[in-house]
Amino acid sequence: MFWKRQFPIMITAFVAVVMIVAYFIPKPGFAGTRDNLQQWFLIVVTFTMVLGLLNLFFVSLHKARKGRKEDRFYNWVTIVALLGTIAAGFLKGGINSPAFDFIFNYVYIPLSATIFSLLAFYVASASFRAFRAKSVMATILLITAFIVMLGRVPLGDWVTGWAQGTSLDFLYLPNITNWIMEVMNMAGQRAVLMGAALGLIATGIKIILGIERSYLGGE
Amino acid sequence: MSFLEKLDRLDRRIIFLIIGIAVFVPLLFRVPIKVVQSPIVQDIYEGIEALPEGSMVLLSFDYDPSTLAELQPMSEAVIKHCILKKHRMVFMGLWPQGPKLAQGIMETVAPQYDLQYGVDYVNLGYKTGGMVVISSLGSAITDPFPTDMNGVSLRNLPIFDNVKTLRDFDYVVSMSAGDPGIKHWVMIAKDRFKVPVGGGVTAVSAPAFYAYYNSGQLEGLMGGLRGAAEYETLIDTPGTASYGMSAQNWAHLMIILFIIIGNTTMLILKRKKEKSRVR
Repeated sequence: MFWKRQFPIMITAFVAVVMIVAYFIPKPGFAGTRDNLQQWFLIVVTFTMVLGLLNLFFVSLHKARKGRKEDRFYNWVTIVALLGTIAAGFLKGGINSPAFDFIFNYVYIPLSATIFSLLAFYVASASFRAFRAKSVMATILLITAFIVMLGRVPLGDWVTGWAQGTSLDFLYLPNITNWIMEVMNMAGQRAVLMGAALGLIATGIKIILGIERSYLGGE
Repeated sequence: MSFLEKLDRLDRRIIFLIIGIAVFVPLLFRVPIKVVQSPIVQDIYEGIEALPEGSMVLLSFDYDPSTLAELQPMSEAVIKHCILKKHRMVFMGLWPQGPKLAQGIMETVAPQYDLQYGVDYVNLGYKTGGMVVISSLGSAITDPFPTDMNGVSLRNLPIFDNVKTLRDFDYVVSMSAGDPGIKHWVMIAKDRFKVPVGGGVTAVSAPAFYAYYNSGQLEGLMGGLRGAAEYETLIDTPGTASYGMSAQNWAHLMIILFIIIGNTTMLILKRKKEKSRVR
């Protein structure tokens, strides 16, 4: 139990305290220890990449052999793509080899960009079906989104360009958009950030003191 | 079923088709659009513009191809700006695919401007570890990156003759699609090592970074395709973003029309229902 629970907690607390002290007291002794710990971290994290790859391979292999019949094909695709890309990376030239370049430029980039681009279609469909003024709050959200969407494209400039530089400058949509982003949005975002930061500090203290142990796994 | 009811239940494939046409047709005509400058983009431009010739700029490619449409034009614009100002550039990535995307740009741009690898620019590649990598750069660049992307020792690259740690850089630009990314550059490079940090993010994540900009932790920020188009306009080099703005313009217009149609039909049908109930 000591090696599974107390010992990792002691390591965590020691490393955390060293890193905090080194941050506030940047003297050579502390900085040296911090640098060594950072190097260790980078080495350990690199091995997690290998673990991730092995995990992906074995999970996909298991699903390809014993998973749902209709999903098996996709798991084989994952395995072939994984092994194919790794093999291309080991060819002469490494990640600059023509085979790896081909996979990256003509398979990975187009596929990845296409999947993300599909979002535009779903956003349009969702805006038609779900973006409705059913309550006061929803209406405020709708109007704000309306202004920002117009203000972020040249259309907003074309429609309200006549107001720019006049006494009615406040009606110029790009200006209203900037105001919404830099005042209203920022106030909300700042509150969220501060709340998250306080939560992070509290969680950090709990981890150092051994109160929060979920990162160790198990019960 | 009345016309309004049909409209209310419009098949989403029709919406997809309209959006597809709205995006595709303007891209065919490739009309560059100059956009109105916002202070947040102007500031990052002025930050790089104000650096003396030969300054060291670290460009971190913290994104993958899924956000390429938005972030790659920003990267291209900033790189061109750095080249025009004769700054020296060091590329790296906190995301595995990032350095390869930087390489893709430089393969086109470097021969055009007669840039020499190792002297005018260098690509360090990817290192896993996120924030710790940045922190480690503050101790010595060779700690996380003993070699460049091609395995050449940094000692053999003239660009690093007087550059040993993160503090020796004059500006950091992070093109970021998430975590790790620009937030971590602000936390370590700016707050701890006092190196100015600017960058670009996707349009959906841009609102979250205005607080950093307002506090002075972030020098400037490009948000989405619009941010990239603004930067292209500032350096007077229309590129992918300026051409893409036309498509985005029409796509936004269509979405606004869909919202108007959706709400109008909802209100009319609601009134009709209320009237029929009263009767």
